[in-house]
Amino acid sequence: MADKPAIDIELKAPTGDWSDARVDFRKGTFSNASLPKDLAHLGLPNPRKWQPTDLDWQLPPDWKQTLLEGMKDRLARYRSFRVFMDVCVRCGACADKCHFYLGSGDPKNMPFARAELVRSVYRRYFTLSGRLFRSLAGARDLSEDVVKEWFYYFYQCTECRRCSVYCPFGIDTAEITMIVRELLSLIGVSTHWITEPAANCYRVGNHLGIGPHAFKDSLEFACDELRDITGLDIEIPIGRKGAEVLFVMPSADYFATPHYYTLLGYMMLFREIGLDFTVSAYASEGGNFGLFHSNDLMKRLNAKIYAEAKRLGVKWILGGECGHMWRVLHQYMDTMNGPADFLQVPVSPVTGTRFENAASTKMVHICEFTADLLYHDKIKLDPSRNDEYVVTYHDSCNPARAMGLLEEPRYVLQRACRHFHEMPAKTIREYTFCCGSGAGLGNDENMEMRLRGGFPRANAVRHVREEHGVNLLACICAIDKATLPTVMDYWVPGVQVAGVHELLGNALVMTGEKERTTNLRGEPLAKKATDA
Amino acid sequence: MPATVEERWLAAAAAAYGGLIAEHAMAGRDPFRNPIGHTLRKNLAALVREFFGSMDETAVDAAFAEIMALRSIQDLSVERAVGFVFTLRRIAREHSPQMRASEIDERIDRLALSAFRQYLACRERLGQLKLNEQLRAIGVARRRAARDGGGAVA
Amino acid sequence: MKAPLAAAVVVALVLAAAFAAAVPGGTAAITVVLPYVAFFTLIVGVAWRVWQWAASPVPYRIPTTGGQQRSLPWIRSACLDNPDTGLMAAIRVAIEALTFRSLLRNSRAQISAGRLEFSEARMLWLASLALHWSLLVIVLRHLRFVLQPTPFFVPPLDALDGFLRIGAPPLLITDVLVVAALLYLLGRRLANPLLRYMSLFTDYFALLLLLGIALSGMAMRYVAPVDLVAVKEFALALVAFHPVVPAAPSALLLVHLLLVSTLAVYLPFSKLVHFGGVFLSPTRNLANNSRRVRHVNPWNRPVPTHDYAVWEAEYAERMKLAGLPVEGTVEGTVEGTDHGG
Repeated sequence: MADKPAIDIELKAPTGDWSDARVDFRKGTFSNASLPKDLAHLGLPNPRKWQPTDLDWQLPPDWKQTLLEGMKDRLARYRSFRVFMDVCVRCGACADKCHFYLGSGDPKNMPFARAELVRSVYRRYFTLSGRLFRSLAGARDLSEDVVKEWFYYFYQCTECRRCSVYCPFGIDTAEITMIVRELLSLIGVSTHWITEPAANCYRVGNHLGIGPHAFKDSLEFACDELRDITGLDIEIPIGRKGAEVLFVMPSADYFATPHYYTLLGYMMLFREIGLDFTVSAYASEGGNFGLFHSNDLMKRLNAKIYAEAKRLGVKWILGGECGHMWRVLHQYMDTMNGPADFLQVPVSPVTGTRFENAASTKMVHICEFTADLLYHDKIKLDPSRNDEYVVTYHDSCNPARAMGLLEEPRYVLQRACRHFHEMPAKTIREYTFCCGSGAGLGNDENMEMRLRGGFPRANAVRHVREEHGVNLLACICAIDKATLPTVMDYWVPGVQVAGVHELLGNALVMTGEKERTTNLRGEPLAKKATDA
Repeated sequence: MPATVEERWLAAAAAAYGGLIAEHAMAGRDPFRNPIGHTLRKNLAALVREFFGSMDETAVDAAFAEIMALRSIQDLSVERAVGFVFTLRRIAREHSPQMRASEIDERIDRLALSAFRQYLACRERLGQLKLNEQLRAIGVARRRAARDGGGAVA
Repeated sequence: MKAPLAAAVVVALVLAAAFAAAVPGGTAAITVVLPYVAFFTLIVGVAWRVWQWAASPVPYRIPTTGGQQRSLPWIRSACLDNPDTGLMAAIRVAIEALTFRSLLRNSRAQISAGRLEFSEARMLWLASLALHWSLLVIVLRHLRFVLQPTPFFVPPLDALDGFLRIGAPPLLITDVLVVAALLYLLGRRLANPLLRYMSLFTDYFALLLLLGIALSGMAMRYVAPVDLVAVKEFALALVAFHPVVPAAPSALLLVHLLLVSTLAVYLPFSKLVHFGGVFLSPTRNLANNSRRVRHVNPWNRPVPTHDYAVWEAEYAERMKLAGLPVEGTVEGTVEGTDHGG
């Protein structure tokens, strides 16, 4: 071979300026556009067939005016939006806190840069300095390229709020993302993976559009499987008036795996404590993809829960494992669709604990409920049934940073399994890394972007896998359960994903049950070492 | 100029990202604040050890598996994702003049092949991941079908 | 290039002030007209901004929770990072404002591979804290010029500030800190390519303006001392609305005055109003008690809903077949109609 190397690559790309809005829609890094049928079902503007890769997005003729008026309206209605537009000093503390930034290195994924994409337009049209000094004051004209850039980057934020924890002013990119997505929806720019489930949820009752009869089939199947596993007849009442508790779960719990094993866990628990409950086919979705689209849509979908609780005459509501669902229930539901004066302050029928923290909303998180049962020793667990698992816990973003539900699930886990190890401190609890697929990004076509976003989380899991041999990632979020298995298979093969109540179900010793031979997944249990 | 082979090679691997991503990849060593940089650093160091050592195929493949898992899903063309491997040729020549040019070339070839192999493997895994995810999304129906003895999926 | 442009603007301001005395009316403009204009712009501008924020409603209760919620009595809650009363939320904001606690989260040191990581992030917190606290002390010290008698706390503050007892007049520690912090923040912005990429003209201008103010002020103390009694007479007259144009003011004083006036005019229209934001940020100043106490949205508006009766009508037949309870309040099959709620 010649002395000069045959291939020697020296590559350098131009740094560019952030105000250049042009975006390259590379396959694998964006979500497909909404279909006209779903927008029509929901009565949303500008239904049409289009894709982000199209040159012409077929925006309505007055799109610019619509966006600017929409901004003006929201500046007047949301203090959060106005303050967050004004106070950022670009100190950069948030820069390396975003999982998409850490996984992609794309500087526009630094939270203060992402916000600057809309802040620059705010300055141009709504501030004196921006109107006078334009680019010198960091102002930018609103152009079609900017619309495309907003679409690209605000559908590249999972509304996880991690940056907000570190910001000295509490600037919350999730809030900015929610408002920009709401603005974009005004001109018909939204994504299929959000509006289709939302339309299904609105019309039929859940994301997949499973009608009440098929909903019942699904739950009956779960009962059949439960009989096989426990030898007990377990019932799941649907739409039963006069029950004490309405139980609401994300619909993935009854159509997807591994969510489904969590459903089995809940139902075993309810049977064991004799909970007087019902589920509903009308409100058969706890998840709320409206949150990822606009506040109005969130409110429209959420309205079903209180309406159904009222119709069925229950006393209070219990909610299953789901992340963004709990953001809506905890921070929005009562304000949007309350007051729930037809309900009563939740009281555990087993322990008598009054859930004062839910005194107004009247909805309790299943982990709060179960932790209370365990604390009062009302249920018996055999954690050795989970011995095959070395468990770590992934705090889902919304329960962690929009609620503070940190100890309850850990309490349940530590009672239900014997091998538990935490990930590094800066990657859990309020510092938890997102799965990278939340806020409506968890679709097929966006896979490469999702894997970038999931990398920081996977990287922390890899750490505990190498240190402690962790092989199970527990979580309390339906989107996590749908997408973290993919993230794990790609980055940390050999780590499974499970709901907290799946592990509880495995460990739960039930009155009159037959000897368990399998776990809830139907996998044979390891013979106990202590067995004679 | 960075002193060690590892650091020079890291700079080349980072430079392939272009612009500011390169700056990010090089900044800081905290594995949880800069996982890209950490992954590159850790595995490039392993590769350099193998390059000047035994060239153990398993170790080389394992290191490239982690690097390519990252680079194959980032905004990099194949040339940029894998091409940095070849920059080691010049670095090695300058660093180890006693090493025979043909030996360097041969080892570079083996590294490059491993890198391509791992890059392709990652790209191929994407398809399988998508399929598995779709299957899980209808996991309950599939369980039912299996239980009903291959009956129709509801 | 934004940084050189910002520097050029500040230098131009300095030169304008330094040679103002040569222009007829120049001294009067800088020592009398401009301070009044600046002061009123500052007051009215800041009031306007704060009013804009305070007047906009808070539709939802959206605190960012940084710790365990208060739920079950036996679980210890993080009452500060996840406040569940208005009082605790106020304390959270106060600590944030006084100590920049969130920045400290960023910099809590991490030991990896036996070495302390990320001193840069810790420096950001230190420099910010040094800058803001020093500015506060400096502003308080300046009260001696505009209030007669001098407020009781100013002399001890001066003494404390000069505790190093280096030189005469003694070197004030806040002077050193403010310049060091400004230089650090400026250097960081220029040296970090990611930060440089996102920095605006205003980011550099604000730092350079403050630096100019600090340096011109220090020069009047340490390098070319001005007649403090004359300055105080001038300032008191200004405050009493009987302004007197100083006969032969030092060029440094003119520079200092012009830069301070520029800052005052600039502040309400720039990111420097951020100090108000920390108190009004809904992710920080609200208690996380949205399930305990209902938060009311002042503009809560009706939205269309898909009501149960309409829904049931669509599925009633299939529901009956499946043995699900049916109310049957709406007769016949209605094809998915919605009505306003």
